[in-house]
Amino acid sequence: MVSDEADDLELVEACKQGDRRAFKVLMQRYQRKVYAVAFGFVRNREDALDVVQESFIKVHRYLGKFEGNSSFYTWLYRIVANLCIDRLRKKKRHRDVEFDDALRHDAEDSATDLTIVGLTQFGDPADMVKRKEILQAVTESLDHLSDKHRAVIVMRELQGMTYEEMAQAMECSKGTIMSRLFHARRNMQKLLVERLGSVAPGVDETADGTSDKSGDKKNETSGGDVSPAEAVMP
Amino acid sequence: MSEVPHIRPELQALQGYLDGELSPAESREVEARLAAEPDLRRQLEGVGAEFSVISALVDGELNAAAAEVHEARFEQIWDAVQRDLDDAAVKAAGPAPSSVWTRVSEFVRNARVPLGLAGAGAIAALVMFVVVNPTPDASVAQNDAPTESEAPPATAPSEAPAETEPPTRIADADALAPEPLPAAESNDADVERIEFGGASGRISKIEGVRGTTTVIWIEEDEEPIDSEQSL
Repeated sequence: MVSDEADDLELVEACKQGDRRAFKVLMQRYQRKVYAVAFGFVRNREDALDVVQESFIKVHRYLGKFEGNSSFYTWLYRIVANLCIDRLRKKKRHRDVEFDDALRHDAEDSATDLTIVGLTQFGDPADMVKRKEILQAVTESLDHLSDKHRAVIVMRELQGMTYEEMAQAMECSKGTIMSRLFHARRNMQKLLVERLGSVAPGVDETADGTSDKSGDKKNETSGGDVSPAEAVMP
Repeated sequence: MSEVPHIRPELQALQGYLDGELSPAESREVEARLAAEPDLRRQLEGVGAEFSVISALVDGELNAAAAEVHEARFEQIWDAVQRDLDDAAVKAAGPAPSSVWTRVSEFVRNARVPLGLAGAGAIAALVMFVVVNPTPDASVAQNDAPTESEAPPATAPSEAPAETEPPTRIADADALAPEPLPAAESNDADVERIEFGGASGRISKIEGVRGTTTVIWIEEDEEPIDSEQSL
């Protein structure tokens, strides 16, 4: 019997031999990460849980075709991304008006260069995410992105997929992926600065209500990268 | 939804450089340009830092959302996955072999008409056989006494079938049933004088069909007499 600490490939081999306990170990190892990816795409808790279930069913069904050329993690994430994209396409067909078209299309955007908008002034992201209001700002920003922009952000920033993998998942060209990612990041920067700025980075409250000195870190952050034209909104 | 126009090639190259997506040759080209343009290098480093913040914030928000899901909810998902795996295994195994009773029931259900016809035919044939070939047991059951003319030769008094034929094996109790008493006016009855048990008298003796002898005590003499004949 394979142990719970066995690596992914050992567990996969055991699953192929019919070891259902090994499959449960694999599932427990990745279920929350799969949920995180799915939630990033669909932004709905129950839909995300449905995707988790569908993903592992599909994984088991096609486990015989997994040859180990890539990591199990990568293979799993591609299945998850494909399921999420299919689900979003089905939902879009039933939707007459897209959610918040304000940032859907950046065709009018000049997009002449990569813009610094001052996200780094808010401090260490690892500390930032401990704050409830910061997380709330991120949630709102992700919710406001279009499905396609959010998809490329999740695939790139959370899953670490390559341009080529993203192009295959979304059935488009690599150039389209690069443009889509460029605009998605610009939009995310704008949305985050708007919301993080309103959070008032000087407040020392953390998510659990205790005081925090992270506000002092703001002054220590390299401000040289902040262009006066991109000053943080009060 | 209209497709977003592609960004300029130089922007694609800079973004690709930040994301590590360029080929070695393409990377060298960008690095050469950055070396020649320090402002561009600083700008690109700042943008890279912003991309890292986006990545960390998105990662943090999604992992926090995943942490809020109760473990029991994932257990429910595992149960659903198991059910699906079980269903798939059952389908792969094919239909289960049916029990003997199920097979018999199905056979009878399918063959009830021909079986019914065959059964009716068999019963009809049996009835016909019985009607055409009545058995002796059947004649006894109907209480018909065989007449002397129909009786087999063994009824003649001079014959002793018991002496010439081997005794027949008795198959059932009907064979032990006594023959009906002959009519008194039968001419085949012998009347003899007999001594038996210290008494003497006259008997009527009738030889039966199957080598049997029926003896009817008629009367007893008052005085016993000596006789050379006794049973």
